[in-house]
Amino acid sequence: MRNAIRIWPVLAVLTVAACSSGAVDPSFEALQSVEIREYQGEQLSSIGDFRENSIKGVQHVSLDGYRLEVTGLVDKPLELTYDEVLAHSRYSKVVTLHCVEGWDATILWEGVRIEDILADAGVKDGAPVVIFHAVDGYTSSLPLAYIQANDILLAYNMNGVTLPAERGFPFQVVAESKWGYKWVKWVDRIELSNDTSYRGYWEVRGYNNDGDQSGPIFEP
Amino acid sequence: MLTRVAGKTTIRRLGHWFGWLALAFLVLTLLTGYGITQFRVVDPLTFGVVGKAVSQRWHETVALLIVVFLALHVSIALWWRLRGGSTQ
Repeated sequence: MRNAIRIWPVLAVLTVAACSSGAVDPSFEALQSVEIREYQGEQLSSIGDFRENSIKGVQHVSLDGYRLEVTGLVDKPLELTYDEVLAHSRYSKVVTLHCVEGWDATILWEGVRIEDILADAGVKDGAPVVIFHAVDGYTSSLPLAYIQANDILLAYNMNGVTLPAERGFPFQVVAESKWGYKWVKWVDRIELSNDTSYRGYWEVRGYNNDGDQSGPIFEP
Repeated sequence: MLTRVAGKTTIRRLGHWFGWLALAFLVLTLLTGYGITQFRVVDPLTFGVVGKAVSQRWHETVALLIVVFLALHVSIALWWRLRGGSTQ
């Protein structure tokens, strides 16, 4: 009898673990658009393969009144509508997002080069840091030199369909070779800064500011 | 002889404690696992103590500790059984 009493906490814990491991997000809905699943012989992940791990849940951004601001150390601060952003030259490339949680997704991203948008605003000398702000208050930063050297995109399409709200509509940073927390979704402001000690939302909480997949996940 | 019996009892008691420690670390593993993927729930529930980054740092360590303490718990239990001890 005593053994039976002792075993119940173990069973309770294992039951909770087993039941919860197969939990399905009830808010997930199948997408209507037809997405590309293969590109130039390369198998692509599905838009539905991502996990929702934003800080405040899915943000539903309306294009009415939406502006992408470019502020900070620039000659000409900008406020661009969605269409004005898309008026820039468009590029596409297949990039894999690696999340620190252990999952990844290979997607055909289509977007505009962030460098082109910054060129319109005119970056002042001594602004080595680009801070991305999202509508939910999330922030993260990338070095300007990295953005320029790697043709980093501000994506509006993934696998041939418009970014759904779950994936960051209207714009998501495609920070290739960086951990997923650098891929800011729902971007509404790009700030040029000289604050090299700036830390974004997860970086303040211990994740590495470099965000390089080849480096440590946490700050040394 | 009395010392020898007391030693066996102590080891047996240690085996029990190792089992409870393994269970505690199992709970902590689940908590930190949820802390990584369900941080919006776990973080406020733990008053910010078990955030996403903390969870991720702890998760692998506590998983290793489960294995260690469970192995000790089972080993001592088997040793006790093979020596003809009671299961109580």
